[in-house]
Amino acid sequence: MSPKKQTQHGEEPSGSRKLGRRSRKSHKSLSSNTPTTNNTKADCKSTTKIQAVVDKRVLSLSMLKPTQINSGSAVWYVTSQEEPDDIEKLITEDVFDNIQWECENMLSGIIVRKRQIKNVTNLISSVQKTGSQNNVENNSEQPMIVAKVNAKIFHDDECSSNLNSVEYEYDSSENELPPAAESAKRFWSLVKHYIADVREEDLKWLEDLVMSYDSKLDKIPPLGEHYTKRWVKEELKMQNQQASSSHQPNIKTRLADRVSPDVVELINRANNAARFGNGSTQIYQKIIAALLEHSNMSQNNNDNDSDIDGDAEDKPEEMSNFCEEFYREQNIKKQLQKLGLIGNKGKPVTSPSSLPHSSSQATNENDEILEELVKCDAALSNLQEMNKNHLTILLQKCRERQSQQKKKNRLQKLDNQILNIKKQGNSQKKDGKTAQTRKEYENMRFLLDKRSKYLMRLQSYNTDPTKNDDSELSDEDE
Amino acid sequence: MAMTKSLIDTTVAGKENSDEQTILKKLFKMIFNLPQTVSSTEAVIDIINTTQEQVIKKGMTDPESQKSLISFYESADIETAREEEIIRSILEIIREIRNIRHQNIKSLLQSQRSSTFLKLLQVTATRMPVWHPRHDEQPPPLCGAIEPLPSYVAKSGDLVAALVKQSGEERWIVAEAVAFKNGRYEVEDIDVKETNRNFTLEKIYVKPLPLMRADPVTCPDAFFPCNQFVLAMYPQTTCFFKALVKAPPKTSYDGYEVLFEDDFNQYTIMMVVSQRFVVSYPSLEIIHKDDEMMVEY
Repeated sequence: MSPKKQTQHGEEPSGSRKLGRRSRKSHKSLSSNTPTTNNTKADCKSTTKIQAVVDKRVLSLSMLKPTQINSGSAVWYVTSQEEPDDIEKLITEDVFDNIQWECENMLSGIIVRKRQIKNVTNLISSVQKTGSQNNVENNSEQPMIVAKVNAKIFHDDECSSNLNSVEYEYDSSENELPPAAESAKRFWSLVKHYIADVREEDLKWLEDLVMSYDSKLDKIPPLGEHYTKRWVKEELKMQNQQASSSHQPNIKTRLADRVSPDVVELINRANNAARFGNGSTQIYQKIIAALLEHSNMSQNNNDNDSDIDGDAEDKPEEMSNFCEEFYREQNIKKQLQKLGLIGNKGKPVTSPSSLPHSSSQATNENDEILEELVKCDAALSNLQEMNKNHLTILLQKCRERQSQQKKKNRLQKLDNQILNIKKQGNSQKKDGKTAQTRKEYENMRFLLDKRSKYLMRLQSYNTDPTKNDDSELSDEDE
Repeated sequence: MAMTKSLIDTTVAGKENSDEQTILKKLFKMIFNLPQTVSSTEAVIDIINTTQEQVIKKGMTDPESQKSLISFYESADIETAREEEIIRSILEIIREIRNIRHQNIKSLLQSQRSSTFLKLLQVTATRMPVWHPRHDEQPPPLCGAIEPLPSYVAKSGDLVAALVKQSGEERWIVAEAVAFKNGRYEVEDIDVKETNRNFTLEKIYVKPLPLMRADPVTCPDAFFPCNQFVLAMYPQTTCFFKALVKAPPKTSYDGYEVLFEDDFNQYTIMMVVSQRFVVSYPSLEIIHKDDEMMVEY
């Protein structure tokens, strides 16, 4: 059956068809013939570096890997045989395939090696060229080349064992970085901000930040009149105005006529309950609830109420909910008072003018929002103080660090000077010109003394940073 | 008349055979001389490596060492170039022999049982030559994943992926280009068991298969990257399906690791498909082609 017909066989959608054809035999049989390619990809990775100190150029030298004909390979097999009469008996189909793959493998290795040779030759020539230019321009000596090891050795070939003992150096100037060096670069770019030297700008920024905490928080303004009271005041004022303009006569009627029958019934029930020993507070609550239920009715019959009350109570058409509720409450209280239910016990309905002022002073001190505001203000002040303290400590540490850095930089400079003198001395020795002169020796001695002084200061600074202000000044002078 | 034809066939076959023998002998001689060249290069490389080791131990090098290193490198370059030429010529001879044997394989492909036929198809994929750059040039079209030029026309006998309608179903199959006339390809399904095998197709419905393998060491850019959709030949079939590349080949002998996508946008388990049978995924217009564009004959 044809392979495609295998796919058509089930008469299913193609998705399931594909899933039904998973067995693979040919790949396994091929893989046994396939030669390994370890040596080709390994070549380019183990490298060493030579660094020119004078012009700071780094060039990388690679350990070259020769082509290998392993015993057991097809090429080795063919070369170990005598030329037969029937060549096809020697170079069978399998041998032929393997020769092809081995040769391809060798060629890959050769191309990699060719590239390495080209790169290194170019680099060495360029370093030599720079050296010869220096000779012409400055009449100085050839550039010194220092051998160092490249970033990382990835594989276990024979080159790696020779390179393990040599110092690691990361070279950012290389164009083709190995993966590990790339990740190292990425890592350093991430962390460099955290370990960077402290600059003057950083200190100034910190100082400004600390100063900004000196400004005080906004003061909490004194508490004004409660909005409900203000609204009620306005409401009552409006009512008064309306009352003064009202011309409706007062009509005295009986209780049954003034209050709706439901309310009367409720009141009667309440009275009965009171008579039979129920708590007065419960009755009071029940009545208020009942009256609240009928509040709409009482509002609708506002005209009647105003007649009863004797005051003109034309409500404004639009009132806020709160005001409405307050008004309703007042209304209920009035009704109850008229009915003689809470007349003496309940809080007398005070004159509108006395209402808002009665408790304003007392509530001023007990206002929850004000209390909360004061609390938040106190917490914020604490936090501000804490931040300021932390930032001040940080600023101090930054200053310490900066002065330490200055010392280290000076030390580094000195080190470089000492090294340069030493190198010059060495090269002169090599060239067989002269030994170190006395002047150079003294110079070296002076520099070394200076270095040890710096080191001492740095050490003392580490133990007690506060002590070092004066010595720092002297450093600057030097 | 028939006698004469068979005589001619035998004579041609005999000539081909003797040609092959001659070339094989040439190949044997070249391979026989290869170790000598390899060892001479090895000697130079050893000197270079030893010098470099000394340089590392020393910590620094003087101009004399630089000069000697450069001279060693120059001789290594010459030796390597010699070695390269010899191996290139060996591979060229191998290619020549492959071309002679190609016809035999073709006839074998058409006569074998299904499993053998598929195995041979896979073997031909690994026998395809690897492209190696001479200098630093870019890989040519049809090397690995490098697309052919728009003007490229597959030669007669070249394998292509062709979008055809078979048994009422549109599918990408492995076909052989027969001819290219009036901007249209005449292709033949390589599966001899199919009833309708010949198709005339617009150029856009034919994708030439790679003619050379790419080597990840020497030309890593000639591969489909991870997570790219491709058309890959499903193992044990001669049909191409949409697949997602999970890993490109690690060596020139390895295949792509792909996940095939089915009609329900589900993926199969990881499968390996040779470079030869992985081509770029066509644009949507090509996939939803008009049926009238295809003519069976």
